[in-house]
Amino acid sequence: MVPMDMAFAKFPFLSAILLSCVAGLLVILFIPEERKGLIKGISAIFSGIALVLSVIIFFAYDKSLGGLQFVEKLPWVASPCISYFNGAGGFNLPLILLTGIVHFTGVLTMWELETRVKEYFALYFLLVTGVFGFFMSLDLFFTFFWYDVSLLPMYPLIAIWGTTQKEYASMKLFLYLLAGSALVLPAIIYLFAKSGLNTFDLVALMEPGTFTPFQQKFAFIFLYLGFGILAGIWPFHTWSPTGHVAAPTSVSMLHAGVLMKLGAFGILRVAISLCPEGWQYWSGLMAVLATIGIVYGVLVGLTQKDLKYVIGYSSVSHMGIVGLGLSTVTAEGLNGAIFQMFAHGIMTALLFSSVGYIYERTHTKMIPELGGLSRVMPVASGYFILGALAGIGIPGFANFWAELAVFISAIEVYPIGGIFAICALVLSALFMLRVVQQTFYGPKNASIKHHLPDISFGQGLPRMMLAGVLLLFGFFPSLMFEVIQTFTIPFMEGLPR
Amino acid sequence: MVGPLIILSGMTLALGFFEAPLETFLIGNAGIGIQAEGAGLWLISVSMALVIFGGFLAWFEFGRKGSQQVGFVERIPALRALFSERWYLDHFFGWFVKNVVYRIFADLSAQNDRRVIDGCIDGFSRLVVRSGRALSTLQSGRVRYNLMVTFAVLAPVALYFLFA
Amino acid sequence: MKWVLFIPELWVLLMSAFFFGMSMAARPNPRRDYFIALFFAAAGVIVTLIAVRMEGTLFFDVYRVDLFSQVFKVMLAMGLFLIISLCSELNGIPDFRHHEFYLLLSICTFAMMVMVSSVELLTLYIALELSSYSLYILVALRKDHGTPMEAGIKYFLVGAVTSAVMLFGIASLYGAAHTTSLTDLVKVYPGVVDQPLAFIGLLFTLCGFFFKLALFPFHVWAPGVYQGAANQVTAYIATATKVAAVALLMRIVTLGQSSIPLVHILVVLSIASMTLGNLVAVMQRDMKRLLAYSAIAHAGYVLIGILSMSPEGYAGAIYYAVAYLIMNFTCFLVVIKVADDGRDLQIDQLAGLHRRSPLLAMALMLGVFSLGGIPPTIGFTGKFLVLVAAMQKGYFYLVFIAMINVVISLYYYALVVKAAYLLEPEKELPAIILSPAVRLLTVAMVILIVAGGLFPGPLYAIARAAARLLV
Repeated sequence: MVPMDMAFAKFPFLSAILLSCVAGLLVILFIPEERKGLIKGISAIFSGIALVLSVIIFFAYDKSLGGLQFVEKLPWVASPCISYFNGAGGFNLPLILLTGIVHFTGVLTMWELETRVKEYFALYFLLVTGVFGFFMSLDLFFTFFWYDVSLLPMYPLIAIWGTTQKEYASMKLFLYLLAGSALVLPAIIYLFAKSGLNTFDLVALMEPGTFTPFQQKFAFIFLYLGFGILAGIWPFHTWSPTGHVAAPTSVSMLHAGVLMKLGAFGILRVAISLCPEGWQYWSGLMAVLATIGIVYGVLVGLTQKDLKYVIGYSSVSHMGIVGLGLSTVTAEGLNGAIFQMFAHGIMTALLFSSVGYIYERTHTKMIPELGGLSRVMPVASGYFILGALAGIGIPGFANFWAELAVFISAIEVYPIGGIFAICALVLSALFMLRVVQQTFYGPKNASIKHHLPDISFGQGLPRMMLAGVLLLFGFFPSLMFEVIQTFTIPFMEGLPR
Repeated sequence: MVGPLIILSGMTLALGFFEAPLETFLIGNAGIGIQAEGAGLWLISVSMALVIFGGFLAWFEFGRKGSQQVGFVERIPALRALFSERWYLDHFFGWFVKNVVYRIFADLSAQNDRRVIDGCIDGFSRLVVRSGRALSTLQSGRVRYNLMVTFAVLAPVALYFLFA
Repeated sequence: MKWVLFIPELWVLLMSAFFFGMSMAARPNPRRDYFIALFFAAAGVIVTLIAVRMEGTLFFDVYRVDLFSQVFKVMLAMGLFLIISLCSELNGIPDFRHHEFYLLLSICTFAMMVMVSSVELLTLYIALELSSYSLYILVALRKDHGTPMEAGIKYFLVGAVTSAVMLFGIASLYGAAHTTSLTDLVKVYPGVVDQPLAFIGLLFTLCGFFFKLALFPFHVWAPGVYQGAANQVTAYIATATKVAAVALLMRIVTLGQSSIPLVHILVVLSIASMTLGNLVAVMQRDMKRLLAYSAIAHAGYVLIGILSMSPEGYAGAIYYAVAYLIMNFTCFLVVIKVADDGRDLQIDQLAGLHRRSPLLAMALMLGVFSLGGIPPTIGFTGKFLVLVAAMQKGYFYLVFIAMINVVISLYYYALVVKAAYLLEPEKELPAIILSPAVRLLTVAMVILIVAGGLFPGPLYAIARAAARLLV
C-alpha cells in the first residue's frame, strides 16, 4: 500500500464544511417555530455555504500531486490514540461534492414544508453533518462516530414527516441500519486491538503488514456485511425501498442519494483499504451478491405500482453496479464504482425531487392513478424523464461513463456476471421506459380532476441543478475520472498480490 | 422505369465478366488471386440454379399468359401471415416479456422480496418480542419464586467452578 | 487522626445529623427543607471536589483515601445534589416525612462514600448494609400512588437474602485467606485461588454488589422497586447506588485476576443480564419499569468492562459509570417533571411532549439515545471504551453479542422517542412550565451528554488515572 502523501490544509475547508452544518443546526435551534420563512432561509444559506466549499475543494484539488490534501489533524484523545483527522483525496472528493449538491437541492426541494419546520431542518442538518463527517474522516473512531450520527435523525425524520407506512418503515430502517453498525463496530475494534499500534488513525493502520491475512479476511466479511447493509447489498436491501417510499422527499433524496453511498464508501475506506487480502479473498462473493442485486432490483422494480418503489428498486440495482465495480479488484472497477456512487446519487436525487413535486400536486404516487402528465406539466415531467434516461445509462449523462467503466472491468474479471449485468441494463430500460410511458405519456388519467400547475422556475431550480450536474459530468467525465484516478491507480499498484 | 433497370443490369453483367481488370484497378496487384479454395463448382451451380428458379417463379406467377398475377406468398395463407406479421418476432418479444420476464422472474422476485426476505426480518422481530414476553413471565410477583430463580442460577455457577 | 481526609463523609454526616434533628423538632415546610437540603448537597459537591487529590489511610488502614475512591465520592456527591435538585415539588412523599427523606438520602450517601473507601471486608459489609437499609425505608416512603409497601418489602427480603449470601462469602474468604483486609487479600488471594472455599467466597461476596447493580440473577427486585418507589427515590437508586456498586465490583474483582473460571462466569452473567434486560424491556408500558429493565441490561454492559480486568477495562467502567449517572438522571428528570404529581408515568403519557416542552423532549431523546449508545452521546463513548477494553483481551464474540443487544435495546428506546415526538394525546395537555433553575439543569445535562460524547479525553484521562490505582 502506498503511504499517502499528506498535504496539510492552509485553510481548513473540510472543517469549515462541517462547521457550516453544525452552525446551521445551532442557529435553527434558536429560531422560534413560527418564523418558518426565516428557518428555511437560514437553511438555504448554510447549505449553500457547504455547497460552495465542496465545489471549491473539488476543483482546487491538485491532481498532479495526488494523495491526501486539505488534511487536518488534531489529537483528540491520548490513549487510545484518537485524532480528529480529515483529509480529501480521489476517493472522497466526488462524494463530498455529491453531498454538498444533494444537501443544497434537498433544502430547496422542501421549501413548501409547513408542519414542524424547525425540527425538520434541525434534524436534517444533523443528518448532513454526520454524512459529511463520515466522508471526510480518516480516523476509525470518528468514522464510526459520524456513521451513527447520520443514523440517529433518520428515525424521527421518517416517522414524523413520512408517508406510506411511516412507522413500520422508520423503525425497520433504523433498527436494520443499526444492525449494520453492530456488525461494523466489533470489526473496527477488532482491527484496532489486533494492530497493536493503539491508534485509530486510518493512515497508520493502512501500512502493509499490520494485519495477518486471517485477521484481514475475518474482519473484512464483518465490515462488508455491516456496511453492505447500508449499501443495499442483496439480500440485505429490503429496508431501502420501504424506507424510500415512506420518507419525505428531501430525506429520500439524501437517503438514496447519499446514505446508501455511506455504506459503499465504508466498504471502500475501511474494509478495502485496511484488509486488502480479505478483499481479494471475498471478492468472488461480493461479485455474486452484486450481480444478483443488479438483476434482482430491476426484476422486482418491474412489478411495482408506486413511483417511489420503482425508484427505490432501481437504486438497489444501481448500488449493485457499485458493488460489482468494487468486487473486480481492479483500478477501472474502482473508478467506475466511485463514479457510479456520484452519478447515481445525483440521478436518484433528481428522480425523487421530481416525484416529490408530482406527489404534491397530484397527491398520489401510484402509477395506475397517473397518466399523461407530460401534457399538463411538461417541465416537471421533463425532469423525471431526464433522470430516468440517465438511469438507463444513456450517453450524455454521467451514469453512462460510470456503468461503462464498471462493465468493462466486470467483463474482464467476471465474464458471466458482467453479461448478466448488461442484460439487466436492457431490462432496466424496459421498466424505466414503461414507467415513463404510463405516467407521463398516454391519455391523461381521468381521476385527476383538479388543475395541475407546472413547476415554476424557483421550484425547478434544485432539479435544474441536479440535471445540470448530470449533463456536465456526462459530457466532461474526465473532470471526475482524473480526480478519482489519483487515488485508485496508486492504491491498486501498492496492493500486495 | 425500365431504362435505369436495363442500364444497371447491363453494368452488373459487364462488371461480372470484367472482374479481373476492375480488381487490378481497385486493389492493385496484391488482390488478385483471392478466391475461395474448394468452393468451386457446386457453389456456382447452386447459386445459378437459385437465380434461374427465381426467374422461373416470377415468370410463372406474373409473366405467363393466363397467370393470376398473384404471388406464391399470397397463395399460401401461412406464408402470407408469416410475412405480414413480420416473422412473428413482435409476438415473440411480447410473449417473452410478459410470460418469461414478468411472470417468472419479476413476480417471483417480488414474491421473494416480500415473503422470504422481509418475512425473515419480520419473523425475527416477532421472535424478539415473543421471547421478551416469555422472559417477562420469569418476573412473577412472588418473592419466593424470584429467589428461587436466583438460586437456580447461582448453584450451577458455583458447581461449574467446583468441577471445572 | 488525619480527619481532613474524612471531610466529605463528615459533611454528609453533618447533613444527616441536621435533618435528624429537624425530623424530631421542626414542623414540615417543604420549600424550606428543599433549600436547606440543596445547600447541603451543593456544598457537599464542593467539599468532595476539594478533597479529590487527597491520599492516605484512616482507621487502622481499614479506610483508604486515594484518587479512585475520591473520584467516586465526587460522583456520589454529584448524584445526591442532582437528585435533591429535583425535589422542589416532592409530591411523592408525604409532607411530614420530608425530613426523614432527606435524612435517609444523606445517610445512604454517607454509607456509600464509606463503602467506596473501605479496604476491609467487614467495614465494607457494614457500609453496604447501612446504605441498603436506608434504601429499604426510602422505597416504602411513598404516598398515594404505586405499591410502595410491596416494593419496600420485596426489596428488603431480596436484599436480606443477598446480604446473607454475601456474609457467607466473606466468611469463606476469611477462612481461605485468613485476612479480611483487601490490601492483604490482593497479595494472598492468587495463592489460594484454586481452593473451592476461596472461589466460592469471592463469588458470593460479589453477589452483594451484583444485587446493588441489578445484575442477573440478582435483578428480580429492580422492576418492582423502580415502579413502586417515589420518582425521586427511584432516580436516586438508579443513579447513585449503581455508581457505588460499580466501584466496589472493580475493587473486589481485581482479587480474582488470575482466575479464568471467574471470567467465564462473569461473561455468562453479563450476556444473560444484557439479553434478559433488553428482551423484557421491549414489552414494557411503564416508563420506570422500562428504565429498570434497561438498568439490568446496562449492568451487563458495565460488567464487560469490569471483567476485562485491565486498566483500560476499569477506566472504561468508570467512564461508563459517570455516563450512566448523567444519562439516567436526564431520563428521570423528564419523568419527574412530566409526572409532577408523583404518579407512575406510562409511556403513552409522554405523548405530545415535543409541544408541551421542546426542551424536555430533546433532553429525553438525547438521554434515551445515550442509553442506547448512539453517538454523539456520552453513552456511546462509554460503551465504545468498554468494548475496546474487552476486545483487547480477545473477547470478540462478547463484543458482538453486546452490539446485537444494543440494536434490540434501541427498539424500545426508539418507542419512547416516538411517544414523545410522534404520538398525540387524546385531549390537549397543558404546556409544562419549567423553573429557570430546572431549565438550566436540563440544558447542562444536554450539554454534558453531547460534550462527553464529543470530547471524551479529559474524563477518560481521569478514569485511567483512577483505574491505575486498582491494578
